[in-house]
Amino acid sequence: MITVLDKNTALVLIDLQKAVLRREAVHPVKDVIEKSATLVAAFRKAGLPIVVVSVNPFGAAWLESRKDQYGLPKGKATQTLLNLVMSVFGLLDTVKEIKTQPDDIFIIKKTWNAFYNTALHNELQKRSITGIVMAGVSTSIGVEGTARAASELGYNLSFATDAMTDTKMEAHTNSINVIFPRIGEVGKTIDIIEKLSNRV
Amino acid sequence: MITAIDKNTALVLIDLQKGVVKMDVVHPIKNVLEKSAELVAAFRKAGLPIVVVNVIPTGDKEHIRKDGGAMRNVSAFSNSDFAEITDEIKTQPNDIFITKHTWNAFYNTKLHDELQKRNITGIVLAGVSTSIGVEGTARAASERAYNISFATDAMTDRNIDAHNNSVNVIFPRMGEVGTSADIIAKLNSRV
Repeated sequence: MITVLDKNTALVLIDLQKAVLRREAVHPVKDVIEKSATLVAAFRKAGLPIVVVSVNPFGAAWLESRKDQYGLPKGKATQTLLNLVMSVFGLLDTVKEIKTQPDDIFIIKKTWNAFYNTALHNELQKRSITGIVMAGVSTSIGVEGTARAASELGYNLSFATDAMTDTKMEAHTNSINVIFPRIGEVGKTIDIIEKLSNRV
Repeated sequence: MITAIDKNTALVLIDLQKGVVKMDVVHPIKNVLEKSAELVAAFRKAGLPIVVVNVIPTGDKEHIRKDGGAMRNVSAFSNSDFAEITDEIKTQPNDIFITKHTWNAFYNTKLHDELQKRNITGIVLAGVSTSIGVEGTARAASERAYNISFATDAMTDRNIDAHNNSVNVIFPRMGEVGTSADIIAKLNSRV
């Protein structure tokens, strides 16, 4: 339940990129984008920071470790090529429904965690941010990965569950019902927007 | 499937401490401790590093608003044997001892440095809880590009769905998943 939002709260949107949203998801992606856009408009109106996170894992060392399941092909040459092709076709760009502005905070991550080896924590600290509202894809990967790190750093977290989805229903449900309640407050986009105008 | 174990691999045991192994869990804790002890013996015999992690959950996290589920009673672990490693795990003074304050044994600890010092590239993970301390540590290990092997019969959780989600969905995307026996079988033919 969303009880309150901090006075200095940032919206953090995870990986709302063409390449990511083209994958099969367990909720209509259209709805997730719509709710995310609603959050963007509300944060913009409140004059609060908007963090637009995208992922570009190509060439990252962690892709080369042994795994039972590979999300992406191994090998530097393949990844350089994939990066090039995706960049040329704009697939790594944030979808146009998310109306960004030049003074938004843009973070490119290489892993599942937007705090790992990025400027995110510094950018938030500079603005005295103590609260984060999370949305985006995938719930159990990029959103949970970023949320776990945010929790370690002591941020108050609010999760907009209808502005998230995943490629696996059980993973989405586990994040929302089991993991997120232990690191923050869980609610819908509308619950969060309602609390935006009387922040404490 | 455990296909290989790196030449320089460390065993990382999460929170096998008196206050944690007392919790209600979804697999017999006796078996989890037995499998963990077998891993300790095998790593000891192979001359490989053993990392013994425990938790004193007093971090910044206690100030954070949450819907629930966190341990909030600080006295429950500050003036008791809560953080003492359980007797079934036979530690030695030259093991690597890490106390964490969050779900992640790499966060604000010397773990990465200690492993780097020893040229460790692979980690075998076991302990409690699967979806919290084990997964939290695994996510950070994956970011740092360690090869991770998960000993699924040497782990448990308070929630069976969370345990299964970690083992079936999340861990296969970060590393290789198998039993303690699978891992021990590969220890002598490390690459």
